[in-house]
Amino acid sequence: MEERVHVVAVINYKGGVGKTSLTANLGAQLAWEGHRVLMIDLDPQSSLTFSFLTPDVWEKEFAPKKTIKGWFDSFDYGKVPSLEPLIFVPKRASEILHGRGQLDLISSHLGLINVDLELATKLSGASLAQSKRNFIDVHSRLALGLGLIAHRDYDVVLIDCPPNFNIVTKTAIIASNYLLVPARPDYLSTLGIDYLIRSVDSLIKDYNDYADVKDGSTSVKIDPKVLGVVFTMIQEYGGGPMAAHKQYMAQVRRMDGVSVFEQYIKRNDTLFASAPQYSVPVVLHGYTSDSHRSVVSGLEDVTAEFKKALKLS
Amino acid sequence: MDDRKRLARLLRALADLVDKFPPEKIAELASGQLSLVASAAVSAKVDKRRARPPAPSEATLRELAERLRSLSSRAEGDKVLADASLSKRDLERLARAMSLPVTRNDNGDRLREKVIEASIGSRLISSAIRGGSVDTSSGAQEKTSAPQSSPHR
Repeated sequence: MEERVHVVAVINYKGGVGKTSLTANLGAQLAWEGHRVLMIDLDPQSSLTFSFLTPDVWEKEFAPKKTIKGWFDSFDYGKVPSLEPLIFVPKRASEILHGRGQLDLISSHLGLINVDLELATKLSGASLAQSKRNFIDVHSRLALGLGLIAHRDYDVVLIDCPPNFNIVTKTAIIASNYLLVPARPDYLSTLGIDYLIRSVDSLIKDYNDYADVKDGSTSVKIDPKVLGVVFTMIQEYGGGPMAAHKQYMAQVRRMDGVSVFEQYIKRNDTLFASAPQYSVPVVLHGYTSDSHRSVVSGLEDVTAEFKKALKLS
Repeated sequence: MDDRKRLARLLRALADLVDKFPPEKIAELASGQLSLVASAAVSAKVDKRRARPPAPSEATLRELAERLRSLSSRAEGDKVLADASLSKRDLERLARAMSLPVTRNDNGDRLREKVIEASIGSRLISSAIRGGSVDTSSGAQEKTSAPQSSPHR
Protein backbone atom coordinates (compact mmCIF):
# COMPACT_ATOMS: atom_id res chain seq x y z
CA MET A 1 0.00 0.00 0.00
CA GLU A 2 1.08 3.60 -0.30
CA GLU A 3 3.40 5.03 2.32
CA ARG A 4 0.82 7.31 3.85
CA VAL A 5 -1.52 4.45 4.70
CA HIS A 6 -1.22 3.48 8.32
CA VAL A 7 -1.63 -0.25 8.80
CA VAL A 8 -2.22 -0.98 12.47
CA ALA A 9 -2.45 -4.45 14.02
CA VAL A 10 -4.61 -4.48 17.14
CA ILE A 11 -3.03 -7.28 19.09
CA ASN A 12 -2.58 -8.89 22.47
CA TYR A 13 -1.83 -12.48 23.37
CA LYS A 14 -4.41 -12.38 26.05
CA GLY A 15 -8.03 -12.96 25.17
CA GLY A 16 -10.89 -10.86 26.50
CA VAL A 17 -8.96 -7.61 26.70
CA GLY A 18 -11.21 -5.66 24.34
CA LYS A 19 -9.35 -5.97 21.03
CA THR A 20 -12.53 -6.15 18.99
CA SER A 21 -14.27 -3.34 20.86
CA LEU A 22 -11.23 -1.12 20.38
CA THR A 23 -10.99 -1.96 16.65
CA ALA A 24 -14.70 -1.43 15.98
CA ASN A 25 -15.00 1.81 17.92
CA LEU A 26 -11.70 3.27 16.77
CA GLY A 27 -12.60 2.50 13.16
CA ALA A 28 -16.08 3.95 13.53
CA GLN A 29 -14.90 7.14 15.23
CA LEU A 30 -12.17 7.67 12.64
CA ALA A 31 -14.78 7.32 9.91
CA TRP A 32 -17.10 9.69 11.80
CA GLU A 33 -14.27 12.22 11.73
CA GLY A 34 -14.00 11.85 7.96
CA HIS A 35 -11.24 9.27 7.54
CA ARG A 36 -11.22 6.32 5.21
CA VAL A 37 -10.88 3.13 7.23
CA LEU A 38 -10.62 -0.56 6.38
CA MET A 39 -11.05 -3.07 9.19
CA ILE A 40 -9.82 -6.64 8.70
CA ASP A 41 -11.05 -9.36 11.01
CA LEU A 42 -8.24 -11.89 11.35
CA ASP A 43 -9.63 -13.67 14.39
CA PRO A 44 -11.34 -17.03 13.71
CA GLN A 45 -13.81 -16.17 16.45
CA SER A 46 -15.07 -13.53 14.00
CA SER A 47 -16.16 -11.17 16.75
CA LEU A 48 -15.42 -8.07 14.70
CA THR A 49 -17.35 -9.53 11.78
CA PHE A 50 -20.34 -10.27 14.01
CA SER A 51 -20.14 -6.78 15.45
CA PHE A 52 -21.23 -5.49 12.05
CA LEU A 53 -23.05 -8.46 10.49
CA THR A 54 -25.56 -10.90 11.90
CA PRO A 55 -24.30 -14.49 11.70
CA ASP A 56 -27.19 -15.57 9.48
CA VAL A 57 -26.41 -12.91 6.89
CA TRP A 58 -22.71 -13.76 7.13
CA GLU A 59 -23.44 -17.46 6.62
CA LYS A 60 -25.53 -16.83 3.55
CA GLU A 61 -23.68 -13.99 1.83
CA PHE A 62 -20.07 -14.07 3.03
CA ALA A 63 -19.01 -17.44 4.36
CA PRO A 64 -18.85 -19.25 1.02
CA LYS A 65 -16.50 -16.87 -0.83
CA LYS A 66 -16.08 -13.50 0.83
CA THR A 67 -13.91 -14.05 3.91
CA ILE A 68 -10.24 -13.71 4.70
CA LYS A 69 -10.05 -17.49 5.09
CA GLY A 70 -11.06 -17.97 1.47
CA TRP A 71 -8.44 -15.42 0.49
CA PHE A 72 -5.65 -17.28 2.31
CA ASP A 73 -6.89 -20.55 0.81
CA SER A 74 -6.77 -19.15 -2.72
CA PHE A 75 -3.01 -18.56 -2.47
CA ASP A 76 -2.65 -22.13 -3.57
CA TYR A 77 -2.98 -20.98 -7.13
CA GLY A 78 0.37 -19.18 -6.99
CA LYS A 79 -0.74 -15.63 -7.69
CA VAL A 80 -1.48 -13.03 -5.00
CA PRO A 81 -5.28 -12.90 -4.98
CA SER A 82 -7.03 -9.58 -4.63
CA LEU A 83 -8.66 -8.53 -1.38
CA GLU A 84 -11.01 -6.30 -3.36
CA PRO A 85 -13.96 -8.74 -3.64
CA LEU A 86 -13.94 -9.23 0.16
CA ILE A 87 -14.39 -5.58 1.07
CA PHE A 88 -17.89 -4.57 2.07
CA VAL A 89 -19.60 -1.64 3.75
CA PRO A 90 -21.42 -2.56 6.99
CA LYS A 91 -24.93 -1.33 6.34
CA ARG A 92 -26.19 -0.12 9.71
CA ALA A 93 -22.98 1.64 10.68
CA SER A 94 -22.88 3.23 7.23
CA GLU A 95 -26.41 4.58 7.68
CA ILE A 96 -25.36 6.34 10.87
CA LEU A 97 -22.16 7.66 9.31
CA HIS A 98 -24.37 9.10 6.58
CA GLY A 99 -21.60 9.91 4.14
CA ARG A 100 -18.92 10.76 6.70
CA GLY A 101 -15.60 9.11 5.94
CA GLN A 102 -15.51 5.46 4.93
CA LEU A 103 -15.82 2.36 7.10
CA ASP A 104 -15.17 -0.92 5.29
CA LEU A 105 -14.70 -4.43 6.59
CA ILE A 106 -13.20 -7.72 5.48
CA SER A 107 -14.87 -10.50 7.39
CA SER A 108 -13.34 -13.50 9.06
CA HIS A 109 -14.39 -17.13 9.10
CA LEU A 110 -14.71 -19.62 11.91
CA GLY A 111 -12.54 -21.97 9.83
CA LEU A 112 -9.63 -19.53 9.75
CA ILE A 113 -8.06 -21.52 12.57
CA ASN A 114 -7.28 -24.27 10.03
CA VAL A 115 -5.39 -21.86 7.78
CA ASP A 116 -2.54 -21.79 10.30
CA LEU A 117 -2.10 -25.54 9.93
CA GLU A 118 -2.11 -25.32 6.15
CA LEU A 119 0.36 -22.43 6.09
CA ALA A 120 2.69 -24.35 8.40
CA THR A 121 2.94 -27.15 5.84
CA LYS A 122 4.21 -24.67 3.24
CA LEU A 123 7.19 -23.56 5.28
CA SER A 124 9.57 -26.47 5.00
CA GLY A 125 12.01 -26.53 2.10
CA ALA A 126 14.60 -28.86 0.59
CA SER A 127 17.40 -26.52 1.65
CA LEU A 128 17.91 -23.83 4.25
CA ALA A 129 17.73 -21.16 1.55
CA GLN A 130 14.46 -22.62 0.25
CA SER A 131 13.05 -22.75 3.77
CA LYS A 132 13.90 -19.10 4.28
CA ARG A 133 12.27 -18.15 0.99
CA ASN A 134 9.17 -20.06 2.02
CA PHE A 135 9.18 -18.29 5.38
CA ILE A 136 9.18 -14.90 3.66
CA ASP A 137 6.59 -15.95 1.06
CA VAL A 138 4.13 -17.28 3.63
CA HIS A 139 4.54 -14.48 6.15
CA SER A 140 4.36 -11.62 3.64
CA ARG A 141 1.05 -12.67 2.10
CA LEU A 142 -1.18 -10.13 3.81
CA ALA A 143 1.33 -7.34 3.12
CA LEU A 144 1.23 -8.23 -0.58
CA GLY A 145 -2.57 -8.39 -0.55
CA LEU A 146 -2.85 -4.93 0.99
CA GLY A 147 -0.47 -3.63 -1.64
CA LEU A 148 -2.97 -4.59 -4.30
CA ILE A 149 -5.73 -2.37 -2.89
CA ALA A 150 -3.59 0.76 -2.56
CA HIS A 151 -5.87 2.50 -5.05
CA ARG A 152 -8.62 2.54 -2.46
CA ASP A 153 -6.69 5.25 -0.68
CA TYR A 154 -7.45 4.27 2.89
CA ASP A 155 -6.07 6.45 5.68
CA VAL A 156 -5.98 3.62 8.20
CA VAL A 157 -6.20 -0.16 8.01
CA LEU A 158 -7.04 -1.77 11.36
CA ILE A 159 -6.34 -5.49 11.69
CA ASP A 160 -8.13 -7.23 14.55
CA CYS A 161 -5.72 -10.05 15.46
CA PRO A 162 -6.49 -13.31 17.25
CA PRO A 163 -5.15 -13.84 20.77
CA ASN A 164 -2.21 -15.99 19.68
CA PHE A 165 1.06 -15.71 17.80
CA ASN A 166 0.40 -18.20 15.02
CA ILE A 167 1.28 -17.66 11.35
CA VAL A 168 -1.84 -15.71 10.43
CA THR A 169 -1.15 -13.32 13.29
CA LYS A 170 2.42 -12.95 12.10
CA THR A 171 1.24 -12.01 8.62
CA ALA A 172 -0.67 -9.15 10.23
CA ILE A 173 2.38 -7.93 12.15
CA ILE A 174 4.53 -8.08 9.04
CA ALA A 175 1.91 -6.16 7.06
CA SER A 176 1.67 -3.46 9.73
CA ASN A 177 3.48 -0.21 10.40
CA TYR A 178 2.22 -0.13 13.95
CA LEU A 179 0.92 -2.33 16.72
CA LEU A 180 -1.80 -1.14 19.06
CA VAL A 181 -2.02 -3.17 22.25
CA PRO A 182 -5.28 -3.15 24.20
CA ALA A 183 -4.80 -4.37 27.74
CA ARG A 184 -6.76 -4.72 30.93
CA PRO A 185 -5.08 -3.34 34.01
CA ASP A 186 -4.41 -6.62 35.78
CA TYR A 187 -1.40 -8.75 36.60
CA LEU A 188 -1.71 -11.34 33.81
CA SER A 189 -2.29 -8.69 31.16
CA THR A 190 0.93 -6.93 32.12
CA LEU A 191 2.78 -10.22 31.65
CA GLY A 192 1.15 -10.56 28.23
CA ILE A 193 2.53 -7.21 27.10
CA ASP A 194 6.10 -8.26 27.86
CA TYR A 195 5.61 -11.58 26.10
CA LEU A 196 4.11 -9.87 23.06
CA ILE A 197 7.05 -7.46 22.78
CA ARG A 198 9.51 -10.30 23.05
CA SER A 199 7.70 -12.29 20.37
CA VAL A 200 7.38 -9.33 18.01
CA ASP A 201 11.07 -8.46 18.37
CA SER A 202 11.96 -12.06 17.59
CA LEU A 203 9.68 -12.17 14.54
CA ILE A 204 11.09 -8.93 13.15
CA LYS A 205 14.62 -10.22 13.57
CA ASP A 206 13.84 -13.54 11.89
CA TYR A 207 11.95 -11.94 9.02
CA ASN A 208 14.63 -9.36 8.29
CA ASP A 209 17.38 -11.96 8.49
CA TYR A 210 15.55 -14.23 6.03
CA ALA A 211 14.62 -11.30 3.78
CA ASP A 212 18.34 -10.90 3.08
CA VAL A 213 18.55 -14.25 1.33
CA LYS A 214 15.26 -14.30 -0.55
CA ASP A 215 16.05 -14.87 -4.22
CA GLY A 216 19.63 -13.87 -3.57
CA SER A 217 18.64 -10.25 -3.04
CA THR A 218 17.33 -8.17 -0.19
CA SER A 219 13.54 -8.07 0.20
CA VAL A 220 11.65 -5.30 1.92
CA LYS A 221 12.52 -5.32 5.58
CA ILE A 222 9.98 -4.61 8.27
CA ASP A 223 9.99 -2.38 11.30
CA PRO A 224 6.55 -2.25 12.91
CA LYS A 225 6.47 -0.03 15.99
CA VAL A 226 4.40 -0.40 19.11
CA LEU A 227 2.15 2.63 18.86
CA GLY A 228 1.08 2.18 22.44
CA VAL A 229 -0.88 0.28 25.04
CA VAL A 230 -4.51 1.30 25.43
CA PHE A 231 -6.09 0.35 28.71
CA THR A 232 -9.59 -1.00 28.44
CA MET A 233 -12.49 -1.81 30.74
CA ILE A 234 -11.43 0.83 33.25
CA GLN A 235 -13.69 1.36 36.22
CA GLU A 236 -13.58 4.88 37.49
CA TYR A 237 -13.80 6.17 41.03
CA GLY A 238 -13.65 9.83 41.89
CA GLY A 239 -13.11 10.90 38.30
CA GLY A 240 -10.21 8.59 37.50
CA PRO A 241 -9.30 4.91 37.31
CA MET A 242 -9.94 3.06 40.58
CA ALA A 243 -6.88 2.35 42.72
CA ALA A 244 -6.68 -1.34 41.77
CA HIS A 245 -6.38 -0.29 38.10
CA LYS A 246 -3.98 2.59 38.70
CA GLN A 247 -1.47 0.17 40.17
CA TYR A 248 -1.09 -1.80 36.94
CA MET A 249 -1.40 1.23 34.69
CA ALA A 250 1.53 2.79 36.54
CA GLN A 251 3.45 -0.46 36.26
CA VAL A 252 3.06 -0.64 32.47
CA ARG A 253 4.04 3.01 32.14
CA ARG A 254 7.34 2.11 33.78
CA MET A 255 8.05 -0.73 31.32
CA ASP A 256 11.06 -0.28 29.05
CA GLY A 257 10.20 0.68 25.48
CA VAL A 258 6.43 0.79 26.00
CA SER A 259 4.37 3.91 25.50
CA VAL A 260 0.96 4.02 27.09
CA PHE A 261 -2.03 6.05 25.95
CA GLU A 262 -3.07 8.66 28.50
CA GLN A 263 -6.68 8.09 27.49
CA TYR A 264 -8.45 4.82 28.19
CA ILE A 265 -11.65 2.95 27.47
CA LYS A 266 -14.12 2.92 30.30
CA ARG A 267 -16.00 -0.12 31.41
CA ASN A 268 -19.71 -0.26 30.78
CA ASP A 269 -21.03 -3.78 30.47
CA THR A 270 -24.50 -2.64 29.48
CA LEU A 271 -23.29 -0.68 26.46
CA PHE A 272 -20.48 -2.90 25.23
CA ALA A 273 -22.33 -6.18 25.76
CA SER A 274 -25.23 -5.36 23.49
CA ALA A 275 -23.71 -3.07 20.86
CA PRO A 276 -22.54 -5.88 18.51
CA GLN A 277 -26.02 -7.36 18.51
CA TYR A 278 -27.31 -4.25 16.79
CA SER A 279 -24.32 -3.97 14.42
CA VAL A 280 -23.42 -0.46 15.55
CA PRO A 281 -20.34 0.36 17.65
CA VAL A 282 -20.95 2.15 20.95
CA VAL A 283 -19.23 5.30 19.74
CA LEU A 284 -21.88 5.75 17.03
CA HIS A 285 -24.84 5.38 19.40
CA GLY A 286 -26.83 8.43 20.38
CA TYR A 287 -26.43 9.61 23.97
CA THR A 288 -29.03 8.34 26.37
CA SER A 289 -27.40 9.01 29.72
CA ASP A 290 -24.44 10.60 31.45
CA SER A 291 -22.71 7.23 31.74
CA HIS A 292 -23.12 6.68 28.01
CA ARG A 293 -21.78 10.14 27.33
CA SER A 294 -18.77 9.41 29.53
CA VAL A 295 -17.96 6.15 27.70
CA VAL A 296 -18.30 7.76 24.27
CA SER A 297 -16.20 10.68 25.40
CA GLY A 298 -13.46 8.23 26.46
CA LEU A 299 -13.59 6.53 23.05
CA GLU A 300 -13.33 9.89 21.30
CA ASP A 301 -10.35 10.81 23.45
CA VAL A 302 -8.59 7.52 22.65
CA THR A 303 -9.21 8.17 18.95
CA ALA A 304 -7.80 11.68 19.25
CA GLU A 305 -4.66 10.34 20.90
CA PHE A 306 -4.39 7.62 18.25
CA LYS A 307 -4.57 10.23 15.49
CA LYS A 308 -1.99 12.37 17.24
CA ALA A 309 0.37 9.41 17.54
CA LEU A 310 -0.02 8.71 13.81
CA LYS A 311 0.13 12.42 12.93
CA LEU A 312 -3.19 11.87 11.21
CA SER A 313 -4.88 15.19 10.52
CA MET B 1 -1.09 26.86 80.52
CA ASP B 2 -1.89 29.31 83.27
CA ASP B 3 -1.67 28.70 87.03
CA ARG B 4 -5.38 28.12 87.51
CA LYS B 5 -5.37 25.33 84.92
CA ARG B 6 -2.27 23.77 86.46
CA LEU B 7 -3.94 23.82 89.88
CA ALA B 8 -7.13 22.32 88.45
CA ARG B 9 -5.13 19.52 86.80
CA LEU B 10 -3.24 18.85 90.05
CA LEU B 11 -6.45 18.65 92.04
CA ARG B 12 -8.01 16.29 89.46
CA ALA B 13 -4.94 14.05 89.63
CA LEU B 14 -5.18 14.09 93.44
CA ALA B 15 -8.88 13.28 93.29
CA ASP B 16 -8.17 10.36 90.92
CA LEU B 17 -5.53 9.07 93.26
CA VAL B 18 -7.81 9.27 96.28
CA ASP B 19 -10.59 7.64 94.34
CA LYS B 20 -8.39 4.61 93.67
CA PHE B 21 -7.36 4.26 97.30
CA PRO B 22 -9.00 1.54 99.46
CA PRO B 23 -11.26 3.07 102.18
CA GLU B 24 -8.97 1.97 105.06
CA LYS B 25 -5.99 3.76 103.42
CA ILE B 26 -8.01 6.97 103.27
CA ALA B 27 -8.54 6.71 107.03
CA GLU B 28 -4.83 6.10 107.58
CA LEU B 29 -3.97 9.11 105.40
CA ALA B 30 -6.41 11.26 107.36
CA SER B 31 -4.93 10.13 110.69
CA GLY B 32 -1.37 10.84 109.53
CA GLN B 33 -0.33 7.19 109.60
CA LEU B 34 0.29 7.36 105.83
CA SER B 35 1.73 10.18 103.75
CA LEU B 36 1.76 10.91 100.01
CA VAL B 37 5.10 11.15 98.21
CA ALA B 38 5.45 12.95 94.87
CA SER B 39 7.36 11.18 92.08
CA ALA B 40 8.72 12.51 88.75
CA ALA B 41 7.93 9.28 86.84
CA VAL B 42 6.26 9.75 83.39
CA SER B 43 3.67 7.45 81.94
CA ALA B 44 4.64 4.74 79.48
CA LYS B 45 2.18 6.18 76.95
CA VAL B 46 3.86 9.57 76.95
CA ASP B 47 7.32 7.97 76.82
CA LYS B 48 6.44 5.82 73.82
CA ARG B 49 5.05 8.76 71.94
CA ARG B 50 8.20 10.74 72.57
CA ALA B 51 10.37 7.83 71.38
CA ARG B 52 8.62 7.49 67.99
CA PRO B 53 10.54 9.17 65.14
CA PRO B 54 8.68 11.83 63.20
CA ALA B 55 6.62 10.65 60.22
CA PRO B 56 8.55 10.93 56.94
CA SER B 57 7.51 13.75 54.65
CA GLU B 58 5.90 13.17 51.27
CA ALA B 59 9.18 14.14 49.62
CA THR B 60 11.02 11.54 51.70
CA LEU B 61 8.53 8.87 50.68
CA ARG B 62 8.91 9.82 47.02
CA GLU B 63 12.67 9.58 47.33
CA LEU B 64 12.31 6.20 48.98
CA ALA B 65 10.07 4.99 46.14
CA GLU B 66 12.61 6.21 43.58
CA ARG B 67 15.40 4.48 45.43
CA LEU B 68 13.45 1.22 45.51
CA ARG B 69 12.88 1.49 41.76
CA SER B 70 16.62 1.69 41.21
CA LEU B 71 17.34 -1.55 43.03
CA SER B 72 17.85 -4.85 41.27
CA SER B 73 16.72 -7.40 43.82
CA ARG B 74 13.84 -7.89 46.22
CA ALA B 75 16.31 -8.56 49.03
CA GLU B 76 17.89 -5.14 48.60
CA GLY B 77 14.42 -3.63 48.71
CA ASP B 78 13.57 -5.51 51.89
CA LYS B 79 16.72 -4.14 53.52
CA VAL B 80 16.01 -0.56 52.45
CA LEU B 81 12.48 -0.78 53.81
CA ALA B 82 13.72 -2.34 57.05
CA ASP B 83 16.30 0.43 57.47
CA ALA B 84 13.63 3.04 56.88
CA SER B 85 11.71 1.71 59.94
CA LEU B 86 8.35 2.75 58.57
CA SER B 87 5.22 2.37 60.63
CA LYS B 88 2.18 0.71 59.08
CA ARG B 89 0.71 4.13 58.50
CA ASP B 90 3.87 5.29 56.72
CA LEU B 91 3.87 2.13 54.60
CA GLU B 92 0.30 2.92 53.60
CA ARG B 93 1.37 6.44 52.61
CA LEU B 94 4.28 5.03 50.63
CA ALA B 95 1.99 2.54 48.85
CA ARG B 96 -0.49 5.27 47.97
CA ALA B 97 2.31 7.49 46.70
CA MET B 98 3.16 4.64 44.34
CA SER B 99 -0.47 4.39 43.12
CA LEU B 100 -0.94 1.08 44.89
CA PRO B 101 -4.30 0.12 46.31
CA VAL B 102 -4.42 -0.19 50.10
CA THR B 103 -7.11 -2.11 51.93
CA ARG B 104 -7.98 -2.27 55.59
CA ASN B 105 -6.83 -5.89 55.67
CA ASP B 106 -3.29 -5.02 54.59
CA ASN B 107 -0.85 -5.53 57.45
CA GLY B 108 2.73 -4.30 57.47
CA ASP B 109 4.12 -7.39 55.74
CA ARG B 110 1.52 -7.25 52.99
CA LEU B 111 2.18 -3.54 52.42
CA ARG B 112 5.93 -4.14 52.23
CA GLU B 113 5.33 -6.91 49.69
CA LYS B 114 3.11 -4.66 47.57
CA VAL B 115 5.72 -1.92 47.57
CA ILE B 116 8.57 -4.29 46.72
CA GLU B 117 6.63 -6.02 43.93
CA ALA B 118 5.57 -2.73 42.35
CA SER B 119 9.01 -1.17 42.48
CA ILE B 120 11.34 -4.15 41.94
CA GLY B 121 9.42 -7.38 41.34
CA SER B 122 7.56 -6.10 38.29
CA ARG B 123 10.86 -5.19 36.58
CA LEU B 124 12.36 -8.58 37.37
CA ILE B 125 9.28 -10.31 35.95
CA SER B 126 9.31 -8.14 32.82
CA SER B 127 12.99 -8.85 32.26
CA ALA B 128 12.48 -12.58 32.77
CA ILE B 129 9.72 -12.73 30.18
CA ARG B 130 11.46 -10.60 27.57
CA GLY B 131 14.82 -12.27 28.05
CA GLY B 132 15.83 -15.89 27.64
CA SER B 133 16.02 -17.76 24.37
CA VAL B 134 14.33 -16.28 21.35
CA ASP B 135 11.28 -18.32 20.45
CA THR B 136 8.08 -16.93 18.99
CA SER B 137 6.34 -20.24 18.62
CA SER B 138 3.08 -20.73 20.45
CA GLY B 139 2.50 -24.40 19.97
CA ALA B 140 3.45 -27.57 18.19
CA GLN B 141 2.10 -26.37 14.88
CA GLU B 142 4.25 -23.26 15.10
CA LYS B 143 7.39 -25.23 15.72
CA THR B 144 7.23 -26.26 12.09
CA SER B 145 6.71 -22.71 10.89
CA ALA B 146 10.35 -21.62 10.67
CA PRO B 147 13.12 -23.12 8.62
CA GLN B 148 14.21 -26.24 10.43
CA SER B 149 17.91 -25.58 10.13
CA SER B 150 17.71 -21.92 10.99
CA PRO B 151 20.39 -20.76 13.38
CA HIS B 152 17.74 -18.75 15.18
CA ARG B 153 15.71 -21.76 16.25
